[in-house]
Amino acid sequence: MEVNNYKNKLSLDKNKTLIVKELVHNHERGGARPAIVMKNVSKTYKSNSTPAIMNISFRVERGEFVFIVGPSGSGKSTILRLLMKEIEPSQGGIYVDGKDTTKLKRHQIPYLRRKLGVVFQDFRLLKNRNVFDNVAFAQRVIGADTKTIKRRVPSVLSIVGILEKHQKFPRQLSGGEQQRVALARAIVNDPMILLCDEPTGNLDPKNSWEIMALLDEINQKGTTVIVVTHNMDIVNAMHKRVITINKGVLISDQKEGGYRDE
Amino acid sequence: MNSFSNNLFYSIKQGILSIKRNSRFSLASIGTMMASLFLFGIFYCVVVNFTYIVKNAETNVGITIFFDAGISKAKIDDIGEKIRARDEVESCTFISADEAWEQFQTDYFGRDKDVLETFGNDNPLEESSSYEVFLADVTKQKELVAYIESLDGVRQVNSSESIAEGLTSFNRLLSYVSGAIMLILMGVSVFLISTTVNMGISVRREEIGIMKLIGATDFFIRAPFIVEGMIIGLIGSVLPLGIVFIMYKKVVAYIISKFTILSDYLVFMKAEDIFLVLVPLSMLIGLGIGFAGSFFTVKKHLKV
Repeated sequence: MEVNNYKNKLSLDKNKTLIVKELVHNHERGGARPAIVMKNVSKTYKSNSTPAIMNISFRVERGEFVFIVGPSGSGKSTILRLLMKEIEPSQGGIYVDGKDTTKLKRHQIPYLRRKLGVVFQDFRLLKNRNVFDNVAFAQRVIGADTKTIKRRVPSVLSIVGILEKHQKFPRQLSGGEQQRVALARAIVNDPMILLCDEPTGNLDPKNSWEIMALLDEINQKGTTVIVVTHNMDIVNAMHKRVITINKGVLISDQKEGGYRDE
Repeated sequence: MNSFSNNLFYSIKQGILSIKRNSRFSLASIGTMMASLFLFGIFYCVVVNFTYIVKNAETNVGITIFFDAGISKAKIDDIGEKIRARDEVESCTFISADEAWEQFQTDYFGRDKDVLETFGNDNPLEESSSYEVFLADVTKQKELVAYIESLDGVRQVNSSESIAEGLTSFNRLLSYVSGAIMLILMGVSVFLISTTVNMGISVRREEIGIMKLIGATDFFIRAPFIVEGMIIGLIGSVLPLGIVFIMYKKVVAYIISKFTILSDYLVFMKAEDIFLVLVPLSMLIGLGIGFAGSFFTVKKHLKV
């Protein structure tokens, strides 16, 4: 409908056709749709009567870099698990790329997850596959052909700086290297949003900074990045948007915020 | 190639690789499948042979029909026509009085010429020409006897009701017992395979979780496990077939050589005839159990 309106408003001379094409392109890619919207989301686990999160609402625009911070058990990881649709909210609405994920049917969930790249604290690599295969695996999942995989995987491994170790198995790599592989796997399908759950939690400061620099670089190229962490040094040094959660409640949302241990 | 065929080829490759990667689990599954299908193969051979022997015995169950004294040849032929027209009749052969006496001499007097000489040229069985009838379906003997007795010109019908009934009930019992045992064997196989597959999948639960979180569809996750299950099922069915084939040939040869006295009754089926059915049957069962075992077991682990 919006596209037709655009066409009606503009006379179709050559230059204007290009403008329409761009508008259509933007429209089809989601246009101004926010990457993530959480509306009054609460989650109570069956094993615990106290809600893990209560009435959380926030909106993340495309291309934003957001830290979600808070002490252990504050509900940060619950937010990520809800975004991945690993768990269902007890109430509220969650929208990813404009779609209400709470209404997705079971067979639609994989396609939501393909819009999300995920990096975990414990890397979660397939132990019996080498670096190349771990990253190629994510491409296989979306049905990419071997030719594409052979072209794309080395390029991504090169971005995260681990190309020379493509034949090594996870057990042969350091923590920092494993996290680079996990990052390569997360971005190989060019996701719209990159979700990182404590990505530096198992890393020394040097590797932590390197991973954060990579995340920043990926964000600069247009990917929305959400990082759940309680690493104060990193959050305070990067001057990004910071959403602070405490005891399941959103207590602050600062554009270029910081994080203090309270 | 589209993404479906990419995924399909990938799944087949992964299924094969997975057998290699999880060699212990694969060997355990193949072993379980082999044990089940080995028992199934042996049992199948026993059952089909029993059925074959019983069927063979049934064809030897005959009815003898004697005629009224002084009956004409045309009347005898007419009775024969009526009997042959019945569906349950396999064969109906006329035995003349002379043939009957010759057979009697051979059966009872043998070389005892002294006894035979007392009869001279007389035929004591002069009024005993007969029809010898064999049935295609022994269960219908009673019905047939009643029909023949009702025919004009028939004096006497000899039949062994107890043998016919015994064979019929034995055959029925055999089909019930074999059906029940085969069902139990199938059930045990499915349970054992499912348990083994379950063990293998528990080990790979983390892997399945990762696959789900990076956007793999249920088909993508399940397909390699199913390929793996089917290959294991196929290997597990082919190996015992070979063993059962060799064993069958040896056991049959042994029984025939040791029990020559029973050679008229113990007629075994040819191994080739049995395996013409048993090979595809076992392979189908192996594939089926491998498929079902993997399909349902993986399903439980897909809810991530």
